[in-house]
This record gives sequence, C-alpha cells and structure tokens, in this order.
Amino acid sequence: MTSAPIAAPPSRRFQWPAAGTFVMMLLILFFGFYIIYPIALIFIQSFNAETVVLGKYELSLINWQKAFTEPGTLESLWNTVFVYVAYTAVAFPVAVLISWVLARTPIPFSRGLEFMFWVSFMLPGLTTTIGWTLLLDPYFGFINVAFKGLFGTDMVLFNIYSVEGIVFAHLMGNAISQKVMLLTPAFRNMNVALEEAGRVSGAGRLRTMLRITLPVMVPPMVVVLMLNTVRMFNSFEIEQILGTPIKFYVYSTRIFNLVREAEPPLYGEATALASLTLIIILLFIPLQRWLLARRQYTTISGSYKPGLIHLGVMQPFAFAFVALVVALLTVVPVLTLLGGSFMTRAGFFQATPTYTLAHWQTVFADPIFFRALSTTFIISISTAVVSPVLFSMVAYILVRRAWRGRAVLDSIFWFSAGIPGMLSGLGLLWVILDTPGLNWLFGTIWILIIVAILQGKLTSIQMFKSTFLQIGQDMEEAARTSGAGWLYTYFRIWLPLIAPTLVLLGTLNFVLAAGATSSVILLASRDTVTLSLLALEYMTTNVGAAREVAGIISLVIVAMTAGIALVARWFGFQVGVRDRGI
Amino acid sequence: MMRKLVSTGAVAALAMVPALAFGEQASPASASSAVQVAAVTPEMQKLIEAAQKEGKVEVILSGQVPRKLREAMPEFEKKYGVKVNFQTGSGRKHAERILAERRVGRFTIDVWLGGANTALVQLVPNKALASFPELLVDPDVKDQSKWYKGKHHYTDPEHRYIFTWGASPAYNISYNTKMVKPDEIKSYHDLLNPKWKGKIVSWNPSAQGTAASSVPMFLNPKLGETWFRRWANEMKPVIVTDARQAAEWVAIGRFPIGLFGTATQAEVLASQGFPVAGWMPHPMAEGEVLSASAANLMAMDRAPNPNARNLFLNWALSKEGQALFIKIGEKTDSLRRDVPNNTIEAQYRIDPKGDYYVPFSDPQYINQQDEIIAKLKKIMSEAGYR
Repeated sequence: MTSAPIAAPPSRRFQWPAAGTFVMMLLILFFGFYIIYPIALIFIQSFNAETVVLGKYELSLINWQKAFTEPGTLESLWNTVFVYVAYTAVAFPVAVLISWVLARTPIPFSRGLEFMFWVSFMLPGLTTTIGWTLLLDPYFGFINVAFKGLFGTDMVLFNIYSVEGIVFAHLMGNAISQKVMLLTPAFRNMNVALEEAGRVSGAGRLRTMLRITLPVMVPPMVVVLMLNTVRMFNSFEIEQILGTPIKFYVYSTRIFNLVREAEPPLYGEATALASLTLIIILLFIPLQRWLLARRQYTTISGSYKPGLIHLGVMQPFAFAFVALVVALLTVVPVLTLLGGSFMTRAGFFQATPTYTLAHWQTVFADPIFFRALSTTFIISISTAVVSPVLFSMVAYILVRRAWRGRAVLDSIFWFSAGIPGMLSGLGLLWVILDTPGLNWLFGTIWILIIVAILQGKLTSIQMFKSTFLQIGQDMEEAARTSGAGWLYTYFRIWLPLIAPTLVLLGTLNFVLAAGATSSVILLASRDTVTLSLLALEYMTTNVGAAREVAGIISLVIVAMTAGIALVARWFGFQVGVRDRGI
Repeated sequence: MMRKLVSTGAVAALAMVPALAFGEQASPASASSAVQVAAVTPEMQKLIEAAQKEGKVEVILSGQVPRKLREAMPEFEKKYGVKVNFQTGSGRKHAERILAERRVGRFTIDVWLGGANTALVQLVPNKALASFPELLVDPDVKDQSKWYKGKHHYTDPEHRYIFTWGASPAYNISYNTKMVKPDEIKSYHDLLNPKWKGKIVSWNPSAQGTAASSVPMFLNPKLGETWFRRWANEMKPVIVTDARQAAEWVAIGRFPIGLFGTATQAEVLASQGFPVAGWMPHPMAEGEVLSASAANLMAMDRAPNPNARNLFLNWALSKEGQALFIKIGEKTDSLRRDVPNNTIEAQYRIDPKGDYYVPFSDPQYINQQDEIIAKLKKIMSEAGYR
C-alpha cells in the first residue's frame, strides 16, 4: 500500500515586497522627512526652557504653561472660532451657489466671471482690507461720509472697525473667492444625466440641486471646508488692522506676535498655541475617511454626459448676483492697489501732491527688483508645472491603489497643516542645515523651488482625490483591458478628465509660490530674494511711502499670475472635456 | 568673469583720482587692490592691503536708517576697492538664519548695522559678536574725545559689542495742528488731563519697537510706573499695531494726539501737507532723551573676511564715513561731534548744550530693559490691552 505523496513545505526563499509597497515606502519616507521631521524638531524645542542660547536644552513645560495661562488666551480662541464660523456660514453657501451657477448654467461670460474670482484670490488680503477701510471707516470712509451728508445724520451706515466689519473683510477677501476657485471645476464634472433623471421624475431645479447635485458634490465640498478649517489659525492681518483698535484679539495674532514681535521670538509658546490645529486635524482625518467611504460619488464614467441647466427667468438674476459679488471682491482692492500706486498716499486726496510717479520710480530703481522678479518667475513656473503632475499621481495612488500605507501617507499630508508657515520654516531651516548632503541646498534657488512645490501639497492632493472620486473606474479598466499601460492611460484617459483640476491647482500653486513669505523667509539668501519678500520688507519698514511701493510689487505679482492663469486656462480648456447646454 | 573685470577696472580707474591728487602710490598685488587712498598710518595701510586681498565684506543693513545706507556702500567700494555685499530686511530674520548657520559651522556675515534689541537678546548671548574696541585701528577713530561726552558708546552690558554711532532727540508725541496747541502739552502729565480721554492713539508701549521711548519714560523718576498706569487706565488710549494707521488718524483729525511710534509717520504726513506735527516745538518738562534707534554697528565673530570687516568698521566710524551716514540716513545725528550736521534737519540734530538722558549708555536701561517691558506689558494687560 502506497501513501499519498507529502506536499513539499512552502519555499522559505526571500520574496521581494510588491512594487506598490516600495513606492509607498519611498513616498512616506520622503514626505515624512520633509513634513514630520521639521515639525518634530519644532515640538521638541517647544519643551526647551532655554529660549536664547542655542545648543542648550532644559526640558520643561514652561513654554506650554506660559502659552495657555497668558490672560486672554481663551477669549482670543473663542473670538477666532466665532469669526471663522460667522464668515464661513455666509461664504460657504454663497460659494457653493456661485460655483453651481458658473459651472452648471449658461450665464453669459461664465469663464470670465470665474477668472475674476481667481483674480480676487490673487489680490493681497491686506490691500483689500485697507481698501474697505477707506470706504467704511466711521469717520472718513467715503461711503459713511456720503451717507451722513445725504441724510444729515451722525449715524454711520457701517463701521468696519467692529466684529461685523472683520467678518465682512474676510468675505471681501479670500473667504468666498478661494472656495469658488476650488469648487467650480468640481461642479463642472457633474454628469447632467443624473440631473436629467431627477427632472424627468418631476423634481424642479432647486430640488434637483439639493437632492442630487449637492449630495454628489460632497467630496469636494467637504475637502474645501476642511482645508479652510485647519487654516483657521493662520489668519491675522485683518484682525490686526480692524480688531486691535477695538480690543478684539484673536488666537492667530497671538501666535504672530510671539514669532514676529517678541524679542527673541518665542517659538516654544507659539508652537504650544499652534498645536490646537493638530487636535482639529486628528478629528478630521477619520471623519473625512468615514464621509468619503460611505457611498460612491462617481459622476464621470463611460456614460458621462457634460451639460448645462437653463434657469429660465432666473438666469438674469443669477448673472446679476454673480457679477455683483465679483465687483465687490475685485473693484475695491484693484482700485486701491492700482489707483493707490499713483497717489502720494493711497486713498488720501488731501496729500500734496495728490498724484505721483515716485513710487513706480522707486520700484524700478531698486537694484533688487528685477533680480527678485526673475527669481519669482523661475520658482513659480517650476511649481506650476511640477506640482500638479506630482500631486495628481500621489492622489491617484491614495484613491485608486490598494497599497498598504495609504492612511499613513494621507495623515502625513494633513499634519502639514498643523503648524503655520512661520514656524515650519524654522524647522525646515534646521533640517536643511543639519542634514549632511542637504546643506548645499541652503542659499540656493533649489531649496526655494522645493519648498514652493511642496507648499501646496495638502490642497492639491485633497482636491485631486475628490476629483478622482468623481471619475468612475470603468474607463480606466477599459483602457487597461485594451492593453494600454499606466502612462498611456494617464495621458489619454485621465489627463482630459482632470485637466481643469490640473490647471486650477497649477495656477493656484503658482499664485501661492509667487506670494510665499513665511515658508521661505529664512531660506532665501541675498541672491534669491523674491518679490513677495521684497514687498514684505517694504511693508515692515517704517517709512512713509513703503506701503505704496509694496503695493506696486504686489501689483506686479498679480499681473504675472493673472497672465499665467489666462494662458493656463486656455490650455486647460483645449485639452479638457467640453460642456454643452441642455 | 568679464563683468567682474570691467567693474574692477572701473573702480581702479576711479580710485586713481585721489592718487593723482595726493601723489600717493597704490599698493601692488591684485587688480582689485590697485586703489589709491589718502595718507594713512602703517597699521591702517596694512589693514587696507589685507582687506583688498579678501576682496569683499558681507554686511547686514537692518532697520530704517541702515537700509538707506545702501547708498553709502559704493563710497566704501570706490575708496578701497573692496566690494560690499549687503543684505537688508528684518533683524530677527537675519539673526535666526545666522545663528542656525553658526550652529553648523557656517560663518557668512562680517558686519551688522542695525538695531540693538536683536543683537542684545540673540547675538550677544550666543557669542556671535566680536569684541569691538580691539578692532579699531585708525587713531582718528580711536580718539574718544571726538565723541559725545568724550567717550565711545556701547549699548551692551559689557560695553564692547554693540557700538552706537548715532542718535537723535526722541519725539514721542505727534499731534493734529488744528486741534492741539503745542502750549497745551508741555509735560507728559498734561496728557493725563481728562479732556484727552479716549483721544489718544498709540502703539502699545510694551511693544519692542517702542522700547527706546517707553523704557526711558518708565525709568524717569518724574514719570515711572505711576504715569503709565494712569495713562492706560484713565485715558483709555486706542492702541494699534500699525504706526501708519495711527499717524493717519491723527492727520485727519480722528484723534488729536498720537503717542509712541507715530512720530516718523507723522513727519511724512506733514511733508505731504497734512495738518500734523511729529514733534513738540519745545522740550518736555520731564527732560529730553537721545534715541539711537538702529544706529548701531557690530562686528561678527569668526567673520569670513576679518580684515575687510575691520576696515569697514574703521571707515564707518571715520569723520568721512559718519558724515556720509548722517547725510544719507537723514534722521540721525552722529555721536561723533566733529562731524558737521547741517546736512540733516534741525529736529534731528543733537544740541551741544542739550541736557539729554542717554539710555544706551545707562547700565540701568541696558540691564533692566526686558524687566521693564514685562512690567509695561502687565500694566497694559491689566487695562485690557493685549
């Protein structure tokens, strides 16, 4: 009797991890080193009681204790949250409505109007605030003076130096425009067939929008809301100008004062205060994953049909509403910036002489200006080209590949928003100088390019993720089944579908790179000064015309970014999916 | 390469002029050293030659007046043929970077022209500055009798690191000339008159930028902590963080009086035709103060170009250098008393007969500054200001 053959034991030979695991490891190591390591250094230093002499370390909780026991900390935290909730409660639904109108209805000049929201985003926040103070200052603001004269009263129409004024200034700044910028391409990806199904079932336009369109748009809307929330503690300029005179203090101003005003800078206390953002992020990460895992959000599939929805008699009102918002967001700051650049003192007609070319002469005569212009252009163009390609691939991996480590990588990106640029810049400086093999980068343009490219990582990756969630897998599967490789599929299937998002994020990152200050101020050398750093220097120099000169430099940045944005949009529309009206 | 040769040749050509005038021969060696200078001591000549071999000096110009001194740098280059590579911008930013560089053994800066605060708080404790007196070679510069009160002035506890070369009378009060008569305010105690309640706009006196004004007032026995408490609690001033905003409010009459930090901007507004003045036309009853602002000169320790550094220091403190600095800086007089100051406006000149409190030479001011600022912060915080 013979027995059944005994199976050979499994081979104990070493098996290489799958390619995906390698790729994830590399990504986690690279981004972890760049993002987590500097943050870790900053945090370690926050437990050092020695704030002056470098090289000495005295483990202590004193910085954290001082930070949170300073009088007014809780009050400033409450003020920050209150202002944020107040302007987001208005800005978010308004932005969603405007994005829907721009992307889904055939209002006239929709592309031009959308572009004006980009211009609004490019304009410096400080200029917008100052422009509105010239109109709404309770004593000399043009609108209030006219109101008083017209009605013979001492009452003001609106006092911008108030909490309501701070909320208003945020709305007129980036609060609406940034959301419109990010949401409009997402709305454009809506499959009109889904809405047609709703209409055929008897739902009106409003009901269709509320029951079909908005639920499908949850991924990009949630991402935009979360991106804004984690940056809640970054805003301080508006509150500094409008809030300080009325003793209204916010959390971010405290962080700013600790870093930029205190001597020596109190990075330890600032880090302690900024750590609140990390707590918010820790809540957001699982919430985001739960929300996006609940259901399918595919809008673009093999049967994707782009289209527009006619609003009938409401069409002209929709156009008027959007045009009014655009006017409010752009006319005042552009007039302030452009008109102010030709005035001896921007906004003051009593100055003698009232108008002058001296500020423009100062700019063009500054020996650093043209060098800074070329440096800024090189950095920004590199960012605009590299960042969307790089981050679209990372986002694809996070959404479409089932590789291990995706949650870790995604969490690393969220953590990058945990520390404001003025703190993380210091951590990065230490990393660059202390790491053998990296310190050659210091003082070169290369480190500025790297910082600028990676500056937009969180927004870019999250927006690409939400875009990929909208795109069905059937088209990629069809391409692969037909024998197409990954690269061919990326260029022939993905690129046309994500082109608007590529253009959007390339332009957005160009704008961010051109305006970057906190993240690069410690890394820039004499030979790599950028326009934004030059403008910052003028702004912080306590001389008479410095603000007007800084304004002209900002105008140059805006003109450069607007020009690039126009070119990029044209390119994006050439390669993207076209829509048609229904 | 070609551009460097052309510029070097141009400098050499320009430098031949004084050589022809005085009949001196240039030192030999490199093309950049073919520059003629007037008669100097052998020690200075040796320094000049060594500096010319180094070929460049790295300078930080931090602060309002130092920034303007960019225009003075070509004069040094022309005179000695040593290139000045300067950087402007915030002192804090430069300090952070320099200290981070030094930690890993990189030394990139030779000279620092700027405010004393950052230097006192960050550079001195980290031993980033070189002892100054030993670096002075020119006998004309070493002669302390030529300086204010017959001595060199150092704004650090050891009197050897932060050389203060310039100062001017401090003006703390700006006012709207249509709403305030100067005779109404002859003393700081006049600002405690109830009629000014809620009508004063100011920087926070505990802010670093106002220390040069507020700390001397705190130390003044005629004012002190009592005055600040009364001012903050009784007069309810409006505190802003933007000096330009405050000065504009005074200029348009929203507030009749501006305090701490508004003077410079008020002067600019006055020059643009606004009814505002940045200083009182009379000294205050409590006495006058000299403020150095950012008129300080420091030598970096372990400088990459030590000879060029020393030459620059000696040139900056020479009569010629000081005359140039105050002419270009416009808002600071030189503490060197043999320098003609008719190139600056009267309100910035140090009156030879004036009886000034000189804070940057007072050990109490230097040693207690941090403590006093902390007390001011507490006073303002208790009054509801952050």
